[in-house]
Amino acid sequence: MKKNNIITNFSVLLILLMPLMGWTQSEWMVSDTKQKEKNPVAFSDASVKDGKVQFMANCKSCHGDPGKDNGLPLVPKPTDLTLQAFLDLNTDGSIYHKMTDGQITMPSYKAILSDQQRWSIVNFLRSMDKNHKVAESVAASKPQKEAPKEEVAIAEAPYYLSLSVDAAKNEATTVFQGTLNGEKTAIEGAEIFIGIKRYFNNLPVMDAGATTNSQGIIKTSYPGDLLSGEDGKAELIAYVIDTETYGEITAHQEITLSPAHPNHFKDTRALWADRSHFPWWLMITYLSIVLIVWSVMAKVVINMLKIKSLGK
Amino acid sequence: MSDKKSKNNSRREFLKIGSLFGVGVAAAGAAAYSGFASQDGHGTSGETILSESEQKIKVLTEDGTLAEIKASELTPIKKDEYTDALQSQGREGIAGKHWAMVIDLSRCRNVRACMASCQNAHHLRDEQHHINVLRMQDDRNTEPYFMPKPCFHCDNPPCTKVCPVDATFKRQDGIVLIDNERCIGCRFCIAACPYSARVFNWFEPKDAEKDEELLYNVELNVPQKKGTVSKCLFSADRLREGKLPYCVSACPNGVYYFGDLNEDAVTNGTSGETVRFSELIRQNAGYTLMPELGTKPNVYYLPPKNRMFPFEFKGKTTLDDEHHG
Repeated sequence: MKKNNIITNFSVLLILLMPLMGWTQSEWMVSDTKQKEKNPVAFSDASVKDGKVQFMANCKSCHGDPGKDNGLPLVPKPTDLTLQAFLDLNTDGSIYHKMTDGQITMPSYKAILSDQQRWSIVNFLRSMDKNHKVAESVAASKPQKEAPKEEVAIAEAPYYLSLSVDAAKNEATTVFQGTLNGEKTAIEGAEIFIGIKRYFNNLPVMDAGATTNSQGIIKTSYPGDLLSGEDGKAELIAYVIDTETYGEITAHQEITLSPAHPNHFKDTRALWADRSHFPWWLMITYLSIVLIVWSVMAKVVINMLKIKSLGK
Repeated sequence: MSDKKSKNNSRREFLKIGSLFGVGVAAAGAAAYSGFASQDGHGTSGETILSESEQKIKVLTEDGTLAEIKASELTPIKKDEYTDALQSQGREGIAGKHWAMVIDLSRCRNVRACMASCQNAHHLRDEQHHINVLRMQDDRNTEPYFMPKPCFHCDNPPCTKVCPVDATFKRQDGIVLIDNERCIGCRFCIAACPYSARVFNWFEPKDAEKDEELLYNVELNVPQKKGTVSKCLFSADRLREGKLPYCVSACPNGVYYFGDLNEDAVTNGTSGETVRFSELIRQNAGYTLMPELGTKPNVYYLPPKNRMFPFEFKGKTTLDDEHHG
């Protein structure tokens, strides 16, 4: 009887687990109508850029850097979404709906990203797709972007990152260089974060997804009217985002921004609850009244004593 | 055996206190000192036992580094003095800061992770809230929404002005705190607060027995004390360490931004993204609650527009029944 129980329990468990095992092994299918959905956000540089920003903020933590296949070691493993196989297999609609609905370990991003942002991520992934047909203007600019990538591979360590500031124009110039045959060479197409140090995190000032030009330079303006403590001093920080290729390279530069007004909260924080906040004029008035009343009473008592002694 | 146990206990206390006040002020008195000295002496057999004055003692400094100090240079300090130091740093606040929070109502979906982490950090009973997620509906024709409501740490706080014993006060960094060692439980401040941000410890607080040994930290308000008032502290203890408040970092949906107005920057607790405070408020029509009162709150709301999910509470998508039924 007991043995029978165990067998039934086990088989029930097996039946319950079967769909789960099936899911992990088989492909994640999206219904036909959803697959056929067209991307309403036009494929443009702006959209790709926005998609990249969203991808870096929301997808990278599990799916890894695009093209590097270095996602988290989960089961099932998060796919590198820029693999040609993935991009060929999935339509725009199916990528969008996988993002929207989620499944098992892939959470739903319906509440986290807006429609536009999710479609922009699709656009960003398509920008990595070799078989993707795009509008001519974008396509024309694409090969130009890809060519310098070969150069990046050539320049080697040590890398140099320098940061200089034009205080009058509120402009920062970042130069990123590597070494080639013992000489300093500009590195093109490297993504560099440039920001102003704040208490919890750095405030980015560069355009999202900005990369170095052929001289290895990124020019950015920073907001000179940004408040920054009582003296207006702040620190500009630049670092190379792709730490896997280049290692951790940072540069710092002191800048002066607008000073903030000092706070005076403590001056008025309590009414008269302690002596230091008690108004002096009230203190003097109160004490003088007390003094006058007591001295009058003392005077009366003394006079009474005098009268008594006179009467003797 | 019991001797060894007491040694361990005294060391634990030593480290606990040392971690609070660094090399100069550390140590739980002579007991801890002798505990350390004898342990080191016997622990390494074969080595010469150093004289007591030359032995070094390991101390955890305030910033978390392990340091060594000569036993003879150690100046023990009484427990009262740690409390005093905690009190004075708690009253002073962090110079040059002006903390503010931004709550994006369009992202809140009533997960209540903020409330849980807050209650956990401040040892609050289930019915006590430093931050509470409310269900709101402005009009019968408008969509209801969820609204987290902490203390607003007003720049012109009505609560601190009515306190007869200076137990609640505003610091230089804008945070309004309560010192429950001064609080006499009159609850004037609860009456004065227009936002109902304060709670009263009517009963023995949660974990009262466990917390008996703890030093009172005015920036954490732990241990809570029966018969005193408690409220949101903007996690003043976390800010001192450069971390975001408990509720802000617990939120899974990116509802909260927190930062320093003197730096004009706020950081999202979920994504870690830092944005300009003034731009965020201007572009999204940020507002404060009941501005007509002149309290100048430091908690800003972004309106529940472009909502990313429909309002749903216990299967209902409206509050109509509760309001009109």
